[in-house]
Amino acid sequence: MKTLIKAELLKLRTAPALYVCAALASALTVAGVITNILLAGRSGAAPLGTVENVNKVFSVAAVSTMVALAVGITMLAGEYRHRTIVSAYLGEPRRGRVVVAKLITAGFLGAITGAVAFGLAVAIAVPMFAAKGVHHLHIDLARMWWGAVVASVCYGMLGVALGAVARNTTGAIIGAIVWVQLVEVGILQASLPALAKWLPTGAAVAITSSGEQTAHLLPVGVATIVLVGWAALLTTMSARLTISRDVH
Amino acid sequence: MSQLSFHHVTKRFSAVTALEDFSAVAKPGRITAFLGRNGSGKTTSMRILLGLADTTSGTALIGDRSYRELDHPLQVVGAVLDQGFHPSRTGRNHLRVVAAQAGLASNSRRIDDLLELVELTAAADRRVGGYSLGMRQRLSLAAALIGDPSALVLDEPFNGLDPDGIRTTREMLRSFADAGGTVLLSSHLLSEVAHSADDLIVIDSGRLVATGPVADIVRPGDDLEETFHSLIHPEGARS
Repeated sequence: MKTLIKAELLKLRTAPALYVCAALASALTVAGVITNILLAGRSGAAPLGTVENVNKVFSVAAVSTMVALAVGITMLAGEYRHRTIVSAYLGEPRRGRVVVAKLITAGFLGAITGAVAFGLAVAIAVPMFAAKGVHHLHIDLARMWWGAVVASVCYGMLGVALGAVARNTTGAIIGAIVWVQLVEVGILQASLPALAKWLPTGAAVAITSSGEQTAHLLPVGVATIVLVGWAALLTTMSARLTISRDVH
Repeated sequence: MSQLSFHHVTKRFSAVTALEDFSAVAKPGRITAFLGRNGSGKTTSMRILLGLADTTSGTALIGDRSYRELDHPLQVVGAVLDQGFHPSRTGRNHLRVVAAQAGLASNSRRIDDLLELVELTAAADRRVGGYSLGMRQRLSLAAALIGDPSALVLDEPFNGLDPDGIRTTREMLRSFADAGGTVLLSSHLLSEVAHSADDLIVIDSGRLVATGPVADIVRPGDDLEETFHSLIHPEGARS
């Protein structure tokens, strides 16, 4: 398994997708932090230093989870797209091991993405808040950091699951964005919050947020179990599918 | 050395029967050409042999085991199918990835030697997206050899190669077989097969039509092309 994980990391290191995703995560995190601090108190935005404002500034998990998802999708759908899946299964014909290696690698990279993106946000935001006279942040930063890591790990693995089913990188990424941003956040969280909080994005928001907006969400412990459960269920289903399917 | 064998293999895709009770053998020390029209079942057979597709019934074996039962498959069988390449990856990195995912020790000397064998040393650090069809074919051959296997399964290995590339590949396959290796190759280039092959497997509509040494199948005075057409179209054979 260690060998297969090393191979997955080598694949990622020798193709541009990982670097593009890392650059995108960094850019969006920096832009999100700076924008939410500079625009605090304007145009209806929460005043600087309030729990709502600080929560918004540190909502980097919204970026890190989607980037981790995209990397996970690329790791398996990309292999089908370029037909390198044939070489992968010739090298290790026990396909379950290949899929597990991809899941572990995607989870590991998700953890790094979540941790680094949140660390970057802290490194930029804390001095900016201090410069504007906000010296105490009324949220549990450590819990939000941990939440960003857990959510990004799960989304990385969900990306592999989605890539196994869709086998089309672009379609899978667009489908994932539409599901998360339009279906879950845009429609279900507004119209059916009692259902939405049990779905992957609802659970992810619960463990990566603080303040009033968490009132209608699941408690952190339950949300963590729900998110991990979704990841386990969907990755198991997709792994079974990809293992049993002929490679054409 | 590994014998490659099919034992009463049947493969159905919904209503379509791709292979019907197909049995054949490719022996060590011989180059076995796998001939048939498009859609006759050659590639499906090779995919089944290499564990990429399941049989509906029957077995395909490398020695006495199925491909999926091999601990280090690339050290037993090398294959050229329609493996793809990541267009942004260099030729050298493609071989590094193939070696890594097969659990082969990272050996840059081995990779350099293979790149030299297939005459890609100068292009080794260029992206595969810029390679010609022939260069990709040669890179596939290098990847097939990376585990120093005892058998090769090659689907249309001469496609896209220039005359020099065809001759080099033919000579390499001859040396491989003469050293005791097993070669199973499919090709539509019958004149090339006539130069290379020791044995033939002829398949049509998923059924075995003929198998055996070339000398036993090609009638005296006929060439391989004539024989192939007479086997596939017995009612309209030109004799």
